[in-house]
Amino acid sequence: MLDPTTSALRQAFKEHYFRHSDRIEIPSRIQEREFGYWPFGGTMIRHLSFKTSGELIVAIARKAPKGVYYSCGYYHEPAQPMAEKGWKSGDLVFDIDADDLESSCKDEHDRWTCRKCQHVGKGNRPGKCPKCGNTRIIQLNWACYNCLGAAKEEIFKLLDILEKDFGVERKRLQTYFSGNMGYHLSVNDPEIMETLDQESRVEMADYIAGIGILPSTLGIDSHLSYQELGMKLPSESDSGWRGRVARYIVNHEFKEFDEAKNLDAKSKLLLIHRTKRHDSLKKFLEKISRAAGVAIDPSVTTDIHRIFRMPGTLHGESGLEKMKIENLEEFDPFVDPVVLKDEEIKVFVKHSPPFTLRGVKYGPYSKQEVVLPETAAVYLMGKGLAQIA
Amino acid sequence: MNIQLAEADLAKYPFLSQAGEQAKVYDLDITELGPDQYSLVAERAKERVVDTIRKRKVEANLDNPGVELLSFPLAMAIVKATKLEHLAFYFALAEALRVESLLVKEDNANLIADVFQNVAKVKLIKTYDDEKTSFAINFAEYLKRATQFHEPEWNLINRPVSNGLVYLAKHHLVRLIRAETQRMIYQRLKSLTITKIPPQLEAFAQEIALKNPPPPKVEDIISISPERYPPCVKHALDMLKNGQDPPHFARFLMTTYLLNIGKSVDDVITLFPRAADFNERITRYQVEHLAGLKGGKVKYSVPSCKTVVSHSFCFRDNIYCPRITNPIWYGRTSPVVKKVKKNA
Ligand code: SF4
Ligand SMILES: [Zn+2]
Ligand SMILES: [Zn+2]
Repeated sequence: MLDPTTSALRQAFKEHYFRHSDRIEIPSRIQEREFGYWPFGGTMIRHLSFKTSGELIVAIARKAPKGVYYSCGYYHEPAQPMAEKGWKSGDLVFDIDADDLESSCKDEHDRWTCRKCQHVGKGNRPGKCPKCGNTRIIQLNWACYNCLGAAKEEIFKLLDILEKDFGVERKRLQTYFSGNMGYHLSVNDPEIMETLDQESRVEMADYIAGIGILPSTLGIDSHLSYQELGMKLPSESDSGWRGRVARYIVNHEFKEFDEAKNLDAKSKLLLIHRTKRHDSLKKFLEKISRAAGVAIDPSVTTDIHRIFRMPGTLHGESGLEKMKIENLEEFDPFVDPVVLKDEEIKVFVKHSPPFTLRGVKYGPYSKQEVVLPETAAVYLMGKGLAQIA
Repeated sequence: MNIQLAEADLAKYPFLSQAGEQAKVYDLDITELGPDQYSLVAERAKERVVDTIRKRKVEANLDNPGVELLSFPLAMAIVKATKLEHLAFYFALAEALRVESLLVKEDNANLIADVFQNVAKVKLIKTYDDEKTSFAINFAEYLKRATQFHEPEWNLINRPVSNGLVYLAKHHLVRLIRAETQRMIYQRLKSLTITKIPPQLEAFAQEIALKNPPPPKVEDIISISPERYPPCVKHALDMLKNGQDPPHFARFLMTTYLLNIGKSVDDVITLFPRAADFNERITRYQVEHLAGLKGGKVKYSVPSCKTVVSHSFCFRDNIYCPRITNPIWYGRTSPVVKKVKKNA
């Protein structure tokens, strides 16, 4: 038996899938993929396979799970245990999570709760509870316009690298709202998908994230004369990482470049070449390239057996839809993917930062009963912040 | 990608000739060549095998291009006749090193490009740019090959990349050719079927086989006690012991390490706490799949030290860590005793 809150969540999802099964985006090559779902009040179920889109839709509508997933990988035997599946190739996917971006608003809306003494703190969880020393701590991550905006910026950076550096056509790049905390992007280029093995994906992820750049790549070499350096240092119009670093240091403030303010990238690099020793120079350049790179979650891109949330299904922690985005510029994560009903539900809210759904402002709430439309009630109940009153 | 090569070039790169033509040479005998020529070819073929064993490298000998060319397939036949897997591996490497040493001296960029396209079967673009970017290939094809090299200059981020192409200097291309050549010769040896080789060479092959028995398998000699685990793996284990939650990567590192030193899936699973919320925790399923695919098409090897460093999970010591590039080698090299002086 599910508790009243979980069963209300399931009911809301179930009604949605019955009314809007057409919103579910059926993946290509369905018979070669593994499927999985996470039922409300249960544990993850994997290694399923479906022959037809009809079968799949019926299963989703019936189970109304809190999460529906499919494999990025294509297998000979998708329903077999992992060792016997036989990996053929896989979609190349990227995940950008607002939670990884360390936005300044994090401290305002993120909370943690000690499992033992129920002590609540702001921001990221500490290693152990400062009050009772317990290490079992529940983290609540929250996404607001600000942090999802930052995540969107990262997607723009990612699109830029994929197009300019990797030469992928824009029409083969599809962006999705993840349904809760960020964005997903998949590359639909059969040639790239087929060729990239796991190690190649690791390397590609490092490139995109700006990991591992050498000073020599930027033309910095202690054996060179001043003139030679001038020739080898990157300028803003260079392609690839040389140009990316050059543009970044021109467009961002660093105290290290104070003496060369308003000068071009070459002059700035010459300055630090003069003032920094090898190791600290290397570290500093790495810091710049990490900042100029994209904050992708590398484990998503490099785990070729990952199962990924299915587009057109609901996210159990928000009730929002993982949604294909046609116009990224205009996409509003608190309007477009809000697909549940407005029917009112009375809930008891333990705690909630203020939030907006479909343009309506809610909260902040603290230990109070509120009557909310289904959309907002599910948003809070999914996060464990509210219960059916 | 058919190319016409002069005999002198074919002698240098004998694997470029048509496979069909080569096949004829495997059962080459005195009647076809004449005794003098035949014995020169046979001697050179033997020398190639002996060089492989003694020096792990075949020295080029271009005095007689015909002999150099014909002795290559004959040497392959000898290696095959020994039935030694490891000799096949070293022969492929030794021949690839010979090719590399010739290409390093080669000035003809067109020839280098042709050799690459022939062994790698990948489209190559000559840019006529400056020497650092003379060649370009598709990035995915590059990655497929370059991930085996561990020097940071091979990392994609340290190569010029634009519009789907990765730019390479001559020395990169030569290094790629070496790897491709090795792979190709090894593959050809594996698929080679030879019914008979001349009796004199058969005797030689048997002698080689007797003197060079296969080495013991790595799996048989590995057994490492926990004190000998690398610092990064130890740290992950300590975190678990202290009830902390190691990051996903640390779990991956530790799991692949333990599986690779021969621990069973059950051994590894007992290390993890029971709770299993699917995204963060390595469950039995995850451990099994890391283990189950070992040796299969998709291999989960232990991430390199470089990768560990980039995930900020390296806790290197000054004893074994300085000599290794992958945690799996920890404690298997001789320790560093003196402090190495670094030039700043
Ligand atoms: S150097 Fe390698 S083995 Fe040593 S701690 Fe770092 S990652 Fe581990
Ligand atoms: Zn506490
Ligand atoms: Zn925020």
